[in-house]
Amino acid sequence: MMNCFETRQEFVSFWRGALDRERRRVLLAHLQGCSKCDRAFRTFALTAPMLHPKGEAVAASGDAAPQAVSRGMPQDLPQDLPIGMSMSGARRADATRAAEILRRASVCRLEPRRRVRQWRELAAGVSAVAAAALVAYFSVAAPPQSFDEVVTSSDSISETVPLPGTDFLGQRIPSIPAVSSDLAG
Amino acid sequence: MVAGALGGEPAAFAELATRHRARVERICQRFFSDTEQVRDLAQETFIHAYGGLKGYRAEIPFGAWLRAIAINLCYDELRRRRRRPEELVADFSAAEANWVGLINTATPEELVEAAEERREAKVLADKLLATLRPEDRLVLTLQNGEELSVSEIAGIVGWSEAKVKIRAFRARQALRRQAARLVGPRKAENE
Repeated sequence: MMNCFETRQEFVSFWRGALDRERRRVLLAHLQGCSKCDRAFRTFALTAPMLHPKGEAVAASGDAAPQAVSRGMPQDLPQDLPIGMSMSGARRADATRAAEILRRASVCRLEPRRRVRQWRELAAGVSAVAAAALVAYFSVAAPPQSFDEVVTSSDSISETVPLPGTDFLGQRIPSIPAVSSDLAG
Repeated sequence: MVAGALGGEPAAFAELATRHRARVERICQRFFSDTEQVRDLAQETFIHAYGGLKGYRAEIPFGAWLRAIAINLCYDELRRRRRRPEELVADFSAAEANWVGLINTATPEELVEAAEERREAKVLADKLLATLRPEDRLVLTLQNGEELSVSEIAGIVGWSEAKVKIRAFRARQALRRQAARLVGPRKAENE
């Protein structure tokens, strides 16, 4: 009989079909009788297709490279981390050469990715040219002026300033008759 | 063979890539459900490996070195992607809703068999994992998928073990929250 901890430890093996018949029977019997573990298994099943994808066993067995990586051994891990590896080290020429080698080995199909990269480079180039053109345009079209030049320039006078005797719409303002002396008291 | 690749023999590198391809793709599969994305990342891994061959040290197993590069690239890609809001997880297609229904009603054996055939099972799993922060997802995937220990993960990603543990704890908590929305109490078989 398995306890809850042991049962949950076997979820991955059960999912991969790696349990022998007896262990499988015991696990299923436990799941049948324990609602908490049953729910835990269903929760596990929600993410298992990603975390333990199909074909796992096949991939693992085909993994027996000459230098088989014994998982779980800390000394397997790189000491100077590829995580921090400078990706600029993968220079363009190297990348092109690697891509060619991989293509010949039919390991990866490379065309779509390369095309995307070319488009990105083109877009970046166009953006840079447009930015340079804008900077050049504004630097030529709007030479720096002093405050006095701006204020005294006739161009800088607003068109909305009304002429004498007219309103802002250009309508003539009627003259107001003089107040008579009678009303003035 | 590694020595041959280091010596600039294209055939040796091609042979290495062929041998390690399945393993690299499997790592990428744990992070992304899209097949094209997985292939792209596998390809990037080998290109980066080729570019970094000069920095490779023979005492490190080539597979572990490749694995770390693949993990690095997957993590970069996760960070580039926008995180899916938690509340959107309930936003299912009909097929995904059907799969959730099955999760709640099928027997464990039926679930294992059905998950093999159903693409939506993978899509839904990806959606769930996409609600996690990239670093949480990274730790969860390495711990549960690759079955790496805390110290191994800390060694690969360059974090402290405490940080790895905290990330794993938070990832599990977040997943539990999601599961609580999707997995109901068991329908008793004896009813």
